[in-house]
Parts: sequence; C-alpha cells; structure tokens
Amino acid sequence: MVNRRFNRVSRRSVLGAGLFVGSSMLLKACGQPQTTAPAPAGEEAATGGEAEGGAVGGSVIAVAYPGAWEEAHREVVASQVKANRNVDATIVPLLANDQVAQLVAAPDNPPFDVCLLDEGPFRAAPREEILQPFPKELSPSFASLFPDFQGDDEGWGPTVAVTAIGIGYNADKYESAPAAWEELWNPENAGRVGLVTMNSSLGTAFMVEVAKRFGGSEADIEVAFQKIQELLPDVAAVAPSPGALATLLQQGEVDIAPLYLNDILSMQDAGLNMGWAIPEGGSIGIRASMSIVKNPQASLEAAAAYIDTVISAEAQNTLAAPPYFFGPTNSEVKLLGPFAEMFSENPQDLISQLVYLDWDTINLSRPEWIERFNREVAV
Amino acid sequence: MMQGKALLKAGKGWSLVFPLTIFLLVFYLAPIVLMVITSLSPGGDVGGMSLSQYAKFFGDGFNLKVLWDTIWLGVQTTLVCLILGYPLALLHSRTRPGNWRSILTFLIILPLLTSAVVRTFAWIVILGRQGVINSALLSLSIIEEPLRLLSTHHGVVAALSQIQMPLMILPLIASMARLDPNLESASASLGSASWRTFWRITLPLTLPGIISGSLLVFAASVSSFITPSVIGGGRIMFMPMYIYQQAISLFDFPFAATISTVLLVTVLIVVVLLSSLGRLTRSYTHT
Repeated sequence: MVNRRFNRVSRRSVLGAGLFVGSSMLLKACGQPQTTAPAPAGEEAATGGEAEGGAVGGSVIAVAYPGAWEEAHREVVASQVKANRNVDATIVPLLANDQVAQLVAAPDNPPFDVCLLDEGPFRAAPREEILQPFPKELSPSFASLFPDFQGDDEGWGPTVAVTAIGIGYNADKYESAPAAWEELWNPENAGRVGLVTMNSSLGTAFMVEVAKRFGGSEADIEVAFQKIQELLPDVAAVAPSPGALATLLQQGEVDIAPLYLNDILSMQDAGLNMGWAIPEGGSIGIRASMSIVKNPQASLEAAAAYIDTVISAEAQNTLAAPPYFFGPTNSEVKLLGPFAEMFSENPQDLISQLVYLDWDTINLSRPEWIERFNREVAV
Repeated sequence: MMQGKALLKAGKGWSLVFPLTIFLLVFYLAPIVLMVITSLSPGGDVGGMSLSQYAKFFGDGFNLKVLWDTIWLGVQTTLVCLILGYPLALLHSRTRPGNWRSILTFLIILPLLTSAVVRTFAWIVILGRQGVINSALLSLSIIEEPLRLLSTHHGVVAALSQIQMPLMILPLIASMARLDPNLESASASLGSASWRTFWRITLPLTLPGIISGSLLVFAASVSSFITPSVIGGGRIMFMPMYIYQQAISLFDFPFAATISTVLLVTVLIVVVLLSSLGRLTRSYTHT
C-alpha cells in the first residue's frame, strides 16, 4: 500500500514537473524575439569588410515601428548590418510610447538595445534615465548627416529619417493642388475632409500648425480647437491613426487630409492617383531619431554599428526608394522615382521645405489637448 | 469508505490542474491584483490609497457615456449574433451528418480562420462610401447619396457581429446536440404547432447554449480593440481604446487601471447575471 502510494506520488510529481518544465520552455520560447535570418554571405560580405567601420560582431535588438518601418529595417538594415559589420540584428515592432513605457518600467534590464522615437515622444521621455549619449566616434556615417539631423546639443542620437506632413488629396477629384491648410475650410470640401486624433504626431502637428496659421502658437492652440469645431460638420471621418487615415483616403472615404508624404508616395507607387501638396508656410518635418538605451544587453559597438547602418548612404538610398520612401537624413543620398519627381534628385530640395515644431513646448500641454480633442470630436 | 475514495479522486484532479493554477496565479491573478492596487493610487506624486480615480471616473459624463456605449455595443452585438446565429445553429443540428453538415461546419468556423485585423479591413471595403453596400444601393437607384456606414456605431455592431458569430454558434450547436429529438416529435404528435414546440421545448432546452454563447460574445465584444477603433474611427470611443489612450498616450496609469477595473467589474456583473439565469433554467433541462 505504502509502495503503491509512493509510486503514485512520484508519477504525479514527475508529470507535474514535466508540465512545469514544458511550460517554462514554452514561455522562454515565446519571450525570445524572432531573429532575422542572417543575410547571405558572399560578395556583399566581402565588400563589406572594406567598408568603413569593419566587422564588429555580436548581436543587437533594435526597435522599429510596426508596419513599413519594421519591414524596411528587417529587410534592408538587418541584412546590411550583418553583411557589413557582422552584427546579428533582431527587429522588435513597437510604437514610440510603448518603447518609452517599457524602458521606464525596466531601466536596468531594457528589453531592447536601440530605440526609435519621433520628436514628440522623444522630447517628452525622461531621456537622462533611459538613454545614453550616442558615441559619434563609432559612427563613420554620422558626419555625412545634414546638420539638422545630427541630434540636438544633448547628443542622444541621430535623426534616421524625416517625414513631411502636407496636404494629401485624391488627385482624381481636384483640378489643382490645394495651396494652404485654410482650404480644408472651403465649402467645396464639405463632407470630404479627413482628420486624425491628436494621439499621433500627425494629429498633434496638424493642430499646432492650424493654430499657428490662425494666430496661435505651440503654447496656445485654443484657436485651432475653435476652427476644428467649425470644421466638424464637414469632416467625413476622424481616423484613430495616420495609417487608418491613409486607408480612408485610398478607399475614397475622404478626399483631402493632413498626411505623411511617405504614405502618399506609397499609394502613388501602387498606381493610385494621389497628390500631396506643401501648404503655404512650409511642410511640417517630423524627425525620427535612434538612440542606444542605458544598460543595453548588446555591446556599445554593436548597437552603434546598427544605428550607423541606418544612417549610412547605402541603407538610406534603399529606404528612400520604392516602396518605403523614407525621407533621407544623409546628405549623400539620391532621391529616385516619384520622390525625385516631386522634388529633385537632391534631398536638400525636400529638406529645405521643412519647418519644425517646438515639441518641448507642445509636450507641456499635449496630454490635456489629446483629452480635449477626443471629447470635442466625440459623437 | 466511498467518501474517502471520492476525496482521493478529487485530490488527484486537483494535483493535475496544479501547474495551470500556478500559471494563472502568477500570470493572470497577480497582474489583476496589481491593476486594482494601481487604480487605488491617487495619481501624481501623492502616496497612499484612495478612491479618487473612481470618483473622477464616475463624476464625469464623458466617461459614463463611454462605459454605456461599450455595454450597449456588447448587448447589440450579442443580440445580433443570437438572432442570426440561432437559426443557423438549428439548421446545422437538423442537417444529417454528412457532406452538407461538414460544409456548414466549415462555413461557421470560417471567420475564425482569418485574423480579426484582416476581417476588419474587409469591412471597410464593404461599408465604405464606395463600398459594396453603397455601390449596390446606388446602382439600384435605391439611394442617391452614399449612406454613411463607416465611423458609425451600427457599422461597428455589424462588423463585430460577423467577427464574433462563431463564439455564439458553437455553444448553440453543442447544446442542440444534447437535445433529444423525441421531445420535439412528442410535442408535435400531441398537437402542438411548430412555433409552440419551438417556444415550449426547443428554446428552453437550448438556453444553456444561448447563455454561454451570449457570455462569450458579450465579453469578447466589450473588450475588442481593433474592430471598434478601425470601423468606429476617432469619433466614437469605447472602453478598450480609452484604456489604451490613458495608459500609452497619456501615461496616466492609475486612471487607465481604474477604467480597466470598471470594465472588468462590468463584465463580471454580466457573467454573474447570465449564469444565475443559467442556474434557474437548470431545473428545466435536468428533469
């Protein structure tokens, strides 16, 4: 009897232990980010050895925004950093605020080594606590960046891409390009305007720009809220995100909306007749920068090699081409296709059209604006 | 002696679910406890615990509207799923096992085989101004201007109903499979018309399936995120989007935890109400 009991207990505990081990292995596997397949060695690798910087080795976990960014960085940057610098890169898709939230939650054990933030979230983040200054000396490509994109005096990291905000419109339905933001209020656009909530940089930048056009500033966008109230009866849709707004334009739900240039170029590349106009007063530039986090798991050299690859002319030439159309920040890049048709081959012609907003001032009131916007547009 | 054996049997069962229990304790219960504790924080740098976040939530008409809209969305979706799903489940259970039944099963499960994101974007194509519905109505000259279907509450209900439909139909089919067909024949041979048979026999005996299906659809609807935000747009706010916005855009974790707790309690209340209804009907099904 005792023996039988013993047998049963041990079988049970073996089963339990087995389940425990199994589930912990499963958990571990789930936690392991998907690694990118190493790029084929060969010619590329051979020429890469001669490239500046040379092989570094090791691995790095870098963030990219979900969607086009993730795809671009996985397809282009990860394979180049493997070929040129022998660094294995893993790309984790995360939005800017999610990255900051994760870094703030675990500053001693960050879940990734390189973060990607655009101006709004970057200027709002507790940078001293979660980031470290970018080691320029480890980045041969840093010097060829346009001056606007070498990061601010604090030196947290370079701008890896710039996105332009302008007036996106359905070119089938307009004879000439809209000239200014004020045209959204034209009676002919009633029922055709698309907007996006202020949760996104696009929405916030648009509201600040509207305020500026009507006498407000980064510190005071009261007038923009009044103008939006006026516009609301004529608004066809308020999208929850910039990507959703681009979809609405593509589907013919809206005909005119504040939109990112790269979304429009991608639609043009897909054969849709979409236009994008730089409004009076310039197009708002949104800079996305990459920084190395504090206490990274990767070596400083590997993390710097990754960022260096993102800002290299080689990578940016591919990222500025179809289907990505990321605004280049490296002065040696040449624009191609619809990008070059809209501006010229020289990225300087795009860069010179951009105006930047004061995100430090915007961030002081941004949370209240987001709440207010959502309440005021709610039906 | 019998009791001892039963106890031993129960003990054996418990030790088998032990790993799952630990798993749920660590990864499910602990985060919920943390969430409730966070919701009791007054926010800012002030320490201690208070109900101030709840006072803030319930003291604001906007929040109550978001809560009510979310519950109403859940109720509407559940009713649509029930009304459209019940006949389909009935048809499935009346079809003799064979090819047709397999095809029917496949069609019922079909929505589960594509991701909610893909299905949601398909609904944009269906509901849009130049979408399937509007072009059909326009070409038939039933309407002159495209109807506004996207960015409306009803659009969200339609899309969610299709997406959640299998959650309703599968429990219904299970409960209909347990239904003794002789009962319906007996009712008919005793002179009841088919409607009377349905109301007095079929419907009451499938109530357990209706209840569990409704529970699943309601809980999945009020907590769904992608479909309401993409179909509803930025002008309609539901609880999940509100939670996301407070936590991720505004970093107001105590308030986000408060909204989450309110949503959780709401779902729990519905679960308790529906399962007590289930207990009432148990006398029906087991006599």
